[in-house]
Amino acid sequence: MVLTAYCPKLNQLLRTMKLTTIMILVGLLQVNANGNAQSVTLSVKNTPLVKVFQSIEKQTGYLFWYDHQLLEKARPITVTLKNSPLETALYECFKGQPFTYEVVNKTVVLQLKKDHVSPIPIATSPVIPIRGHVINDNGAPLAGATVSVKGRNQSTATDQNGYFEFADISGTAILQVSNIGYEAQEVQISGRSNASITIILKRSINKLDEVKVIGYGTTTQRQSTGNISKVSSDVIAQQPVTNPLQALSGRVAGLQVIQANGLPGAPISVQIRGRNSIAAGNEPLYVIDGVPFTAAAVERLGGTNGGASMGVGSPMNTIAPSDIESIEVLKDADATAIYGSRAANGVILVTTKKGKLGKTSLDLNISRGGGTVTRVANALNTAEYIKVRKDALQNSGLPINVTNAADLVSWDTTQYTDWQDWFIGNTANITEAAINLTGGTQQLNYLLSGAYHDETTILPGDNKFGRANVHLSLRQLSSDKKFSLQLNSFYTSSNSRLSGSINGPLINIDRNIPHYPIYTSQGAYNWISNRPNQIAELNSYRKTKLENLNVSLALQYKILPALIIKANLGYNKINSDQVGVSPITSQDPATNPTGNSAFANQYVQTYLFEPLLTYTNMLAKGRIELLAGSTIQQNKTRGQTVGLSGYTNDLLLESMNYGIVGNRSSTSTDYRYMSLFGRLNYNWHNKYILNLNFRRDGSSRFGPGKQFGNFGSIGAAWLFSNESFINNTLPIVSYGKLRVSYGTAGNDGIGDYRYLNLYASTPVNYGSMQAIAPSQIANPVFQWEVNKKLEAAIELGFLQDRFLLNLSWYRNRCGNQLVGYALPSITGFTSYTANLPAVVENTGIEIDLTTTNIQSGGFKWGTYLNLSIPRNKLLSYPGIEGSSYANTYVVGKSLSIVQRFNYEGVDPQTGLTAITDVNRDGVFTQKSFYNGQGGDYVIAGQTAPDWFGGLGNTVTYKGFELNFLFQYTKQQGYNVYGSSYSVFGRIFNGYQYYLDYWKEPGDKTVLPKVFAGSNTSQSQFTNSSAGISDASFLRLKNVSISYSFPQKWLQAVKMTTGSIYLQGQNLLTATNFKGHDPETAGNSTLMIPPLKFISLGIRCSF
Amino acid sequence: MKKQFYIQSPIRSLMSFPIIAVLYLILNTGCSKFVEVDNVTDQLLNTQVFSSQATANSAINGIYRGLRDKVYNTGATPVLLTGLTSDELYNFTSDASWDDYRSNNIQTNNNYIPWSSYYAVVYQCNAAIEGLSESPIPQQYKALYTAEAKFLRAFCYFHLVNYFGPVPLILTTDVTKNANASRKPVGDVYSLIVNDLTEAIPDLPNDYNHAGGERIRANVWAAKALLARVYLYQNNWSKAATVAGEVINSSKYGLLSNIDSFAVRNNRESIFQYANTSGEGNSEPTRFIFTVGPGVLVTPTLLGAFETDDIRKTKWIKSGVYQSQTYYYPFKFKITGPGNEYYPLLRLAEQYLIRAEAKAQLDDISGAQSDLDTLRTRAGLPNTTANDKPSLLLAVEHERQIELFAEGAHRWFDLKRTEKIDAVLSVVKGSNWQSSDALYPIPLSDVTKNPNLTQNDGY
Repeated sequence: MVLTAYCPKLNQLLRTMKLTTIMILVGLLQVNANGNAQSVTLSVKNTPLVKVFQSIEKQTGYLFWYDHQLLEKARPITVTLKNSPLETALYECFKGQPFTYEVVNKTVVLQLKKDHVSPIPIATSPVIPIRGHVINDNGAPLAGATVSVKGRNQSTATDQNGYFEFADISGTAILQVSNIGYEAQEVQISGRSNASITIILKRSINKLDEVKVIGYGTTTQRQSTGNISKVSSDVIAQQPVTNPLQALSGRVAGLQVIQANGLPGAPISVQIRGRNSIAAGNEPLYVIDGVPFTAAAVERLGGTNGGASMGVGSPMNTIAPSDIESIEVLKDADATAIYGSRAANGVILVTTKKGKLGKTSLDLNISRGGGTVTRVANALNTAEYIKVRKDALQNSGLPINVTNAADLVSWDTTQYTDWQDWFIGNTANITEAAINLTGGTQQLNYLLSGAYHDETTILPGDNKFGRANVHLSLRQLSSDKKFSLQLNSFYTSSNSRLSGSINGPLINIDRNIPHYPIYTSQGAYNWISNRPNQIAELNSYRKTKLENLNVSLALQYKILPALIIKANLGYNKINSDQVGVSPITSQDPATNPTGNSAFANQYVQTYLFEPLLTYTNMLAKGRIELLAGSTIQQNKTRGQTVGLSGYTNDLLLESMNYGIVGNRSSTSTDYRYMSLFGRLNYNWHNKYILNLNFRRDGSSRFGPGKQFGNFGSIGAAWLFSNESFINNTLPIVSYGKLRVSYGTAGNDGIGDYRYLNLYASTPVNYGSMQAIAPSQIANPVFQWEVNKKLEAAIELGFLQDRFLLNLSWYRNRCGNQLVGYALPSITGFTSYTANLPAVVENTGIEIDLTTTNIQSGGFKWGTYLNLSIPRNKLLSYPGIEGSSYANTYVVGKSLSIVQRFNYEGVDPQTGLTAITDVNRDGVFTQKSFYNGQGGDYVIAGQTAPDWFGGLGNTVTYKGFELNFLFQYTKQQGYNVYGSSYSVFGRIFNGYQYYLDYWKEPGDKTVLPKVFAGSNTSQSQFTNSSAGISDASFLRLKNVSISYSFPQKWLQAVKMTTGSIYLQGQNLLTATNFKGHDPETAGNSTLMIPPLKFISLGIRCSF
Repeated sequence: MKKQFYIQSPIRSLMSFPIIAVLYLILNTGCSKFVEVDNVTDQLLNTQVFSSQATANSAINGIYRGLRDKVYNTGATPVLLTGLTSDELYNFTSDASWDDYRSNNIQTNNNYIPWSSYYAVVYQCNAAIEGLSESPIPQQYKALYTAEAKFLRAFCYFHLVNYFGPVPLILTTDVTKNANASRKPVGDVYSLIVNDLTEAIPDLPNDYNHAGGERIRANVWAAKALLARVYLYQNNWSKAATVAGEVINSSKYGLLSNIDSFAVRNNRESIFQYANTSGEGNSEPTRFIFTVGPGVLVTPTLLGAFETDDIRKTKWIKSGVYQSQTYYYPFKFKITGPGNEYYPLLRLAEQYLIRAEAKAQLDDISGAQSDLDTLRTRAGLPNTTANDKPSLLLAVEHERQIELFAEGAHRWFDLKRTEKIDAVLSVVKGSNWQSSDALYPIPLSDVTKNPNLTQNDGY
């Protein structure tokens, strides 16, 4: 907030107000005269205009505003009208008059036509004092608005009551008035002496002036020196997503959002501008209403889907998308450095909804929909399977008998079940309801909302996910407007139940032989030795209850108009409560099983205290903003797990009382964090902006003497479109900005206490005596991982900002890498946490383009395009040869490379795999060829995308609105060849993609011949570059159609707004990927694909 | 860090405002306090561990437990590895890790190389010795626990030096010193072992009260028994005979009359065993005792070395039939699961053999005969016929091969110590045998990570 120390004399100001001033002001309001039902009947002849006005005022209730001196120039009127619309009447009355008019809120305002204003020569224009009042369209004064004189170095800012003053100003000067979130305006002084004016600023509809949340403040795209992308509530509302992070997919340049699998509550991995760290975390920092939020799953029972946590404990999943006002993604040094040590991977700021002024309104939103998996690689049917088996047995020279081929001889080969479809081919139903109550005055306003989400899964059985939450936001402003209090809080409870064996269906589809006898002839589960019965295994399950309480309280006091002191207090607690059970029925009866259970709970608690001071004033004709603050944060993590076994009754598995206690484990860590930070922002005439950030952080994750680190950034912007030489020569460019930033941000994303020599209890005693043993070797000297970020960007707007283009280039170099540094085992341990002088570089280009293609009448069509071209490179890694990464990474290449044998194809004569003996030693070694590892593995591909982007369109016409978003990713990924082809031909099923295998000499195929037993040809094929292939895709990510009911319908049911909508997610996918869904192709194990989803809903408010 | 915050003069009067006061306080009190965390509650700092007698005791138990978990309860016990590299054992099914040992062709990346397992225990010993040196606990416990840690460190280095020859002498926990330590001559390693043991002996108790009466922690006799063995390996015959004699004459131990009780907990013959906790068994017997198919078996060489009527052949070797073929396996341990057996690491019979050999070397013919005959009598065999130094030495060598088979690393170390290894193993192993195979390779991963660590010849 900007406040000048100057306090105006209100009475004097009011006295000097003149009608002409009001007219200037009103003339600036761009409110269109509505055609409406008002009709006028007139029959006059040579009548003075003023009489006609009186007549129209009587008939319509409209008022006329004018300067009486003006009417002296009016001509008498002769006109005859009968029940004509008001517009026609006015047209007739003003025909040939030296006036123009505008209709504003039932008021007709008259103004002299421009060519009648006698020009005042600039040279002779007098110098005058001027006072003004800046208010918004609700009449509230705007504090801190910038007022400057066009073409001069004069500028000021309004005080807390919206007043400003210039002591001497040219009588012909033009004032430029701007404020964050409002449209800038130019006001002509027009040679009045001792003028006093009121200026009304309209809330901005220009994207450039939209408020964006940044660390400890706000900005706009126009005034920002950094790279900030915003996704607002209306965009989130268009998408039927469970986790708000899913709503960012395809919408933000440089942001990759990957959903691990299609189960409800699946973890979402978010990467901003690529992978910076080799071993420490790569997740951005999440901040919710100012409180840092843990991103790691809060769960202790390791339910996995192919090694990746199912993440039902993923904390972001506890935030209802409907509660979010906006999500800001901070990318470059300028935007992230204020978050210092944790911002190396960027920052995601989530701001929840706040109360709205005005009368109490109630919003309801209910939707229901269904989803299925997007895309699967089909498995073989019985006939295809039998053909493959026969070929394989023949190739292996084995006769078809019970020993070699029980599946062909003993099982009923007329049976066929598409097990993959059985497991993941079901429909998930999602119901969502949200209610929202808001209202209040400027002194006190509130928002109270609740949301409910219920989701079943595409798996068979009783699997589900449910979430309920309440959200309260309160704002209190003292009557002297010096003190304010803002409270935001939400509480969420979610429950999920997922079958324990869900890792089975996709990863082990090879087990699911299409005629596999699941049941015995007696109807019991059929267990064949060493062959799990996956349907029986689905009887095991895991229940997770997650609770999240987030409270943030912001107190603010204006000490002086320019000086504000604030305190942010935050509290967050996420608690998980889990039970996982394996009933007797899920196990092979031949092993005489008993049931077992595991009970676990864990919580993460965060306390935050942040005192802040801000100072805003004019300095040397520019606006200066200073921020100083401090953060004190503490996190506590506590957790316990108890395993029990020996249950003899499946119904008692969720009780601890009936099992034998087995393994117990607990965790307890504390994390403390303290910092001092400051920011200096200097804006000179909205032309040159300089932004400096500094932060000194201390983290308990580092040893004594290494706890503190300094981070900072410098950002500068030049709004060249505000230079007169650009204005004059290139009027088409309505907005132009060049900006650069450079700075550092850190990463402490490692475990706690790594600098300490610690002892932990060994799993059991020594004899009957207690035993403890060292659990880690200390390294007291490791330090922050530091990411040096450089960015240059140009932002352009054309044709009154109808076309907005952002082009940014960045280069991030992350050094001092924190890794599990490999130690020789003579030290007692094989690794410890240490800094490595390795440097990872991410460079890239990001393009954002927003256009308003058509805007005429009620029809509007806008397009949004973003494109990211990232490049990742391991710039240097001294000593990689001797490190544990010697077989994983190669200097000069991306961290996402995949090393495999180089596949040369199938020998058409023998049908065997041909791979390249890269090191020419006559044998094929499964080790890297690089870094002196002496193997034959070469770079077969990489999983990071070459480029990706989104293309969105919004079309509105009357009450209809259509939004659709296409997402495109050019990338490689793990196909199904690499998963189970090595056992294809044995008693394992495979995919249709496998059918193109070599059958007889002369065949030219991609896949080698199949055998009924272990062989090097097939396993080499699986470990070859053939397993990595193109996984590019074009996806219709989101479609949303809504229809707002017309006003008269709404009035009939006393609604203020109402609409119905149809939304779809992941509707169409075009890809050549040989596998399931290309979005999950970055994972080497097969994942349940994400869902394709359609929902229908209704939204209304009262 | 900047501790003063400059605030413009007009605002100074506002310092009474609480938030400013808090801010001012923070800036003035130094920031480090705010980033100090409380002690970890589910783990202990090493300083905390040795600040109380109870936790220090637990840390010592942890070393014994480490020896069990890292060295003996794995697929890479000294018995298995040295049994395969020598002429005692062979594995029935092919296992790449064991095949290397059986064919004396150990790859440098073999994951069974007994290197890091011992150094992990050495770290525990060093951490305890360091922690105890500054510990405030009563002197008697400090001395006892330090002595036990030194005994265990000596025990580890005894194995390391015999497996690998010269090895780095890691005597601290300081990673910066240890990470590039180089190998020290065999003599230096033995000096450390002797030194550790002689320093430990005065502080160790006579009994097992510190181990709850169980023979699962070192006492003075365990240290002397190991010291006797070390003197024997150093060809220090008189000291070996003296120290072994002290153990034999301590009257704390006696030979088992029924050798089926070889591994029974706290049996009268055992000087030091390692303990299992309830529900745990020894893993070694599960590799030998077969129900379905053979695992690790006794070689025909060993089987043929038994004299007829040797009770040990019937009680300590058992046969099983698989696909109508008979296989023989070690049966010193009787059970595969949890039960009444601990794992013997030092026992009295070895002390008789040490003294017999030392006396023979010292030309005490009758003394050597007497010690040998004590064991032979128990095995149901007649007195030895050897009556001069060379024949007695051969008789001791034979008696050690039988009495100590599939136990510790005795056979392999004896062959090396007596320099018979080339002669014996070139016959059994044929062209697989090279003289350089007498030393195991140092793991590749350590050689690559530590540039000062040289590899043994032949690898």
